[in-house]
Amino acid sequence: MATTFQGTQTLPFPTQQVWDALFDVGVLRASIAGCELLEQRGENDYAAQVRVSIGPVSASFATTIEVVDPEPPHRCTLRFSGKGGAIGFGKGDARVNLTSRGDAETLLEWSASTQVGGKIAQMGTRLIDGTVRKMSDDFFERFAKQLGDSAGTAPSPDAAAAPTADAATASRHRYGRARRVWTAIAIAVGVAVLWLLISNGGAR
Amino acid sequence: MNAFEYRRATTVGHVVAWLRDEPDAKLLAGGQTLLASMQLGMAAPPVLIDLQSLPELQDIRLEQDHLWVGAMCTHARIARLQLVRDALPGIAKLAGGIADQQVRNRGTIGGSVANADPAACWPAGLLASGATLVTDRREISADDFFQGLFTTALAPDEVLVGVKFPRAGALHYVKFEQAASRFALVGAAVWRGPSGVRVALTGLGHGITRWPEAEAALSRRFAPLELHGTDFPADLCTGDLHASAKYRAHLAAVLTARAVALHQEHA
Amino acid sequence: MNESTCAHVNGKRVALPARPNVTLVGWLRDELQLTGTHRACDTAQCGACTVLVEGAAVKSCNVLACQVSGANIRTVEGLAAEGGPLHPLQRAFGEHHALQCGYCTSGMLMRAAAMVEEGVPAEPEAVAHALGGNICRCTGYEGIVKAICQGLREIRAGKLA
Repeated sequence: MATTFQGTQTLPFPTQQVWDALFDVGVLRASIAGCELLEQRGENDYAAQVRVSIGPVSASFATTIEVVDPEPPHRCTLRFSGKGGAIGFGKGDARVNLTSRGDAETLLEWSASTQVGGKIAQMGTRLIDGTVRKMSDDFFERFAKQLGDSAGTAPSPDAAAAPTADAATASRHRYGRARRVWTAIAIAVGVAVLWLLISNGGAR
Repeated sequence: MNAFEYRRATTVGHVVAWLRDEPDAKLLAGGQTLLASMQLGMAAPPVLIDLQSLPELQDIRLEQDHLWVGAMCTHARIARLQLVRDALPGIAKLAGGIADQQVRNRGTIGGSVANADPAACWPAGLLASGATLVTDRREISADDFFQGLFTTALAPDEVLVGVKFPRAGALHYVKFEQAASRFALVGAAVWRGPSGVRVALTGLGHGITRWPEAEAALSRRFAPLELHGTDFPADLCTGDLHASAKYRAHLAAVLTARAVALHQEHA
Repeated sequence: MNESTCAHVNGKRVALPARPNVTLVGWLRDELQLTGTHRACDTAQCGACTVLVEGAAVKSCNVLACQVSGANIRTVEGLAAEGGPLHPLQRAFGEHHALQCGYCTSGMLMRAAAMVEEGVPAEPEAVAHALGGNICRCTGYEGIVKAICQGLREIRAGKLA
């Protein structure tokens, strides 16, 4: 079963700042509720583990993400795949666009095309749309707060606590960092979709 | 089903203390949502706290200005108790229309309300009635309690003890069931009382919601025709396999009008 | 054994399972060998696992055994005495071809048994509505509804229940 989701966010920050924040592992970890792990596995490959708890459902999602065609600081595509074991799977593509609106505002548009299968697709269809919206709203609310908090140049405590491997990679590849960020967004979207999959539709 | 520790609480104080000690514990009310989720592997709480032995949560009684319904009362009991059928027949009828008899025999109003499924019936009934939710530490109005998809005002260690339904006014709830799951594809609850008209909708996808435009229209004139040509905003509805957002938005208006018609029939 | 560690199944006192993560249907079938209750969807949708707890119909796949400590549980094995005549509902199911594969049957019977106390009228529309929690894939329900109407009438007329 394939579905598309999209959303827009207006962030009161300059585009470069938004882009940089999106690639900041610390910001992303803090923006994704329940993010337990976020690491780079290869040049363009990332892995994440996120615990999602909504309603009666609580499960940990193992997601892999591949960054495709980054064009800093405006757009990128992420290919994600998530596995929930016996619960089912979800995969898809997410595109993110940043458009400057003057010096101090950025329009962030995202769209994701996803395919879900397994038990979650069977049981949770009615909850998919609502859960994606809720999770993306949560993500952007936290993300905007992170942007606001770290409006200065001092690194946030989360960034400072990022694993050494991430920091080393970041300093080596600017685009690598960007990809991690985009990856995280894709993870958020992918996880949101996966989440839907696991929502139970039949019982009370 | 995962291995877990099972605890039977005998006081509300126990429950609160256990929730504080075990942040991943889940409260077991009727189990009709929780157990099925666990069977499907969608949840694996390490501790279950069974609430069935808390007598204060089983009480249903008529007070001067409200009907008190304990959080652990089953839908079936609320539907069949003459006390409820006489005082608030709309509430009894809502309870009697949830799922099927087997689920009604176990499922509880507290479990339904604390879970706040976006297609559940009780939250719509409570929101339309302007009910008050009572926890171990405070009272919360329905307007403040329901905060979106599976989201309520309850703190992680807070326990819902019961619901106060105002005795004044009357409620009618109409739902259109999705045939397989029996959840409300859309459900409309219309309450009319001394303070005016309240309309609450379930099933639209993003959580229980009031419908201010319909309330305003029905306050001007309380008749089904007032909703003719007015749909709920489709961009606030979800579309899925079962119905498009536009269909849900239109269905909301149709069902609200039917609930109004029921009010007129029973006036 | 005390009330918190046992339940009464078809009139007989039985110890509950030691582990809490056992559903009522799992306990009945796997530990007590009472395989008359069927596990079909195991997700609380089909009603094939329906049994009576304190006279009320419940989906036993959606109840933990430890939740029903001290309770009286009746399964399809408890409808008729061993070697005795069939329960009016069982006899009616036979007469009205109310089963084919038999998977849903015990759930249907137990659901119907509860209808007596509930006061469900012995009329097709009321019975069909009351069967909302039970699915049958074979019969098309007509035989089931007719059988239940007959069974309810006979039980209320005083025939052996």
